[in-house]
Amino acid sequence: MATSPLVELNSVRKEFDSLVAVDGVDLQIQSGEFFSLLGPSGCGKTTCLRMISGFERPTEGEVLFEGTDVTDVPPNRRDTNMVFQHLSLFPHMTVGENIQYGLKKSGVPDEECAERVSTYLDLVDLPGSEDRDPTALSGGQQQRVALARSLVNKPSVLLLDEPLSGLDRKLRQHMQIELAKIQREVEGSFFYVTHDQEVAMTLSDRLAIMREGEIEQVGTPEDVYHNPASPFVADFIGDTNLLAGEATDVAEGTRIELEGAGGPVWTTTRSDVEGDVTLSVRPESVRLDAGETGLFEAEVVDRFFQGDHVEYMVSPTTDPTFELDVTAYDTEETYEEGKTVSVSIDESGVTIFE
Amino acid sequence: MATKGSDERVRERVRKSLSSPRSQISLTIGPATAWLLLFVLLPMLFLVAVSFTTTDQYFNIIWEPTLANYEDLLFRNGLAFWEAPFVKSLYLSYAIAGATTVTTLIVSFPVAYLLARRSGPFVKVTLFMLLVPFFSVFIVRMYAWLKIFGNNGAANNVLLNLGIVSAPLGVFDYGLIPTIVALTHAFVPYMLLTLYASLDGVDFSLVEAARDLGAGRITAFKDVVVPLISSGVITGSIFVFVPALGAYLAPQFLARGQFLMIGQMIVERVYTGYSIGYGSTMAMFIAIAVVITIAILYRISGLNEFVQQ
Repeated sequence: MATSPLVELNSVRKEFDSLVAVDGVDLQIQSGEFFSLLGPSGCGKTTCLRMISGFERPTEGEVLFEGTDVTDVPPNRRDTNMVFQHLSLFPHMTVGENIQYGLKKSGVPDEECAERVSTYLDLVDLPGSEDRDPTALSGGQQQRVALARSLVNKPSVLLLDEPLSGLDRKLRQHMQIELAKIQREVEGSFFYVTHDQEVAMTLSDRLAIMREGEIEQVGTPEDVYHNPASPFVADFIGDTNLLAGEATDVAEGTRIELEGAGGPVWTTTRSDVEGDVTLSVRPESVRLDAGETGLFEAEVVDRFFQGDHVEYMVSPTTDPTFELDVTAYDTEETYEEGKTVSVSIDESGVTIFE
Repeated sequence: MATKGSDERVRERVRKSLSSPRSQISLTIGPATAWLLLFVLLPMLFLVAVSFTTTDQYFNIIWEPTLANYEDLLFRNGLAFWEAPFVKSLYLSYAIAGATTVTTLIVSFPVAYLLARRSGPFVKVTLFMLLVPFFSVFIVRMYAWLKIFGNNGAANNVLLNLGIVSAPLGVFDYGLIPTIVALTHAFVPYMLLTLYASLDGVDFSLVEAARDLGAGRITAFKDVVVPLISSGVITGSIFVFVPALGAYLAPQFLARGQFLMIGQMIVERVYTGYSIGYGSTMAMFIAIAVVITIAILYRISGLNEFVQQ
């Protein structure tokens, strides 16, 4: 038998009164990986985190740590530590006292405590801050203290509950890089819960997308981006165009009429679909050019210059109600609003859902 | 034009003097300070002065400093200081006020905690319901306790009629326990509201953080909740302890002369003995006792650090 995963949720279900927060979730977190649980707010991701940390008991199913059932083990006796959404630093203790709190509770002698506190303050780039008052620190610094307070206990898995959500964009991006660096340095397993797909994509080795209490897909960021399991995943991870279409099997593959009969027709060599389908078309896989070589003709409705790329919104000349987002990395040759362009779709950016 | 210019200048000067830190301080805390000086400090000084005087046969204060009141209180009939009736009453009052503080704390804490953990209309409605009984007149509530306690009181009668006891229970007879119960009932709102305000400000995710870091339920409570509400507990205790120390009605109704608390002694002296100086001297002891108590609490709770922050 292969070694058991570090953390395992086994058909876990959690009900709050009549509300089902988590509905039959299976998850495995491997040792040393950065795993993100991604989903819109209210999808049950925080409940999953709290079941791993021990603050919630699943209504059904079990939580396993390295194959051992810990469903009934209280949080203080689980080998996990959590970075809370609002950090929850103890306001009546110094930075040093905050960080050594967990060590003291597990009976680590004073000298070793002091040593480890100082090591971890170095790690989070706040050397010598032991005697500072956590409430007087900036948001980013508090973030680092919270991280050190959890990491100092060397948990087998560090749980992070959207701790970066309170920071501004610049600081968040900076902390993301720091977090990735720290994870590599401590060689720990991180379980990160967030609604921010950018953070999840950047940091994760693997991620799971959750929706209304259920897991929609688990995979590497690349895998999930390129092969989304559902229109929801395609839309949640990155930007996409979700188009309705009707597929018919033809000799050379599949012929798909977009947005009903009479719309643009797209042909693919994939030939296993028929009937009503939904297409996810990534904006960067749509190409515009001035010629007439494309799939259909369209008019540029909007154009947003973004510096390194240009975002267009185009509508087929035959059907102006139908709009398509396009990302073009050619910023030299751009198309004005109102201009007619030829649209072609690169197959690699298309996923077909039946 | 010239007048307008000088007007401007005057206005400017007024504005400047009003915006100086010193004048802002006096504007904001001035009225309160004046009130305190006039109605707290001056009467207090008067009390101190009067405690060193005696009265003549027409009950006029003789403005001649004397230690007679103090001597009589502490060394009456040549008894040792700790055996003087007044000093005994002081201990007793201290013990009763202390017990009342502890019981109000025990009664209020679970309620305050529950309310702090909840939110919304439930909290408001419950708080209102809990406080409604205290809108009734104090003396009416004391009468109610008077009827409940006593050998033939409602409590004993119910137990006797239900056949749970065969003879009236001594604990329900007038004395120490009924007094403490009545005082607790009287002062619960002060403790409850102070504790609730204090607990409501506690971020309970801190308790989870402590649990997550390896603390058991009780340890997490001790390490996180207790330090964060200690100033509230001290404040509530002072609100209960101080008035309980000088209680008059409750022991008058419910001790039935088995003992006298200091408040009763003062009333007895001033109304029956017409000795204002003597009463003031006793009041001085209460004041000193209160100051000492608060100073001790202040020291042990680290309230001074809290105030500095």
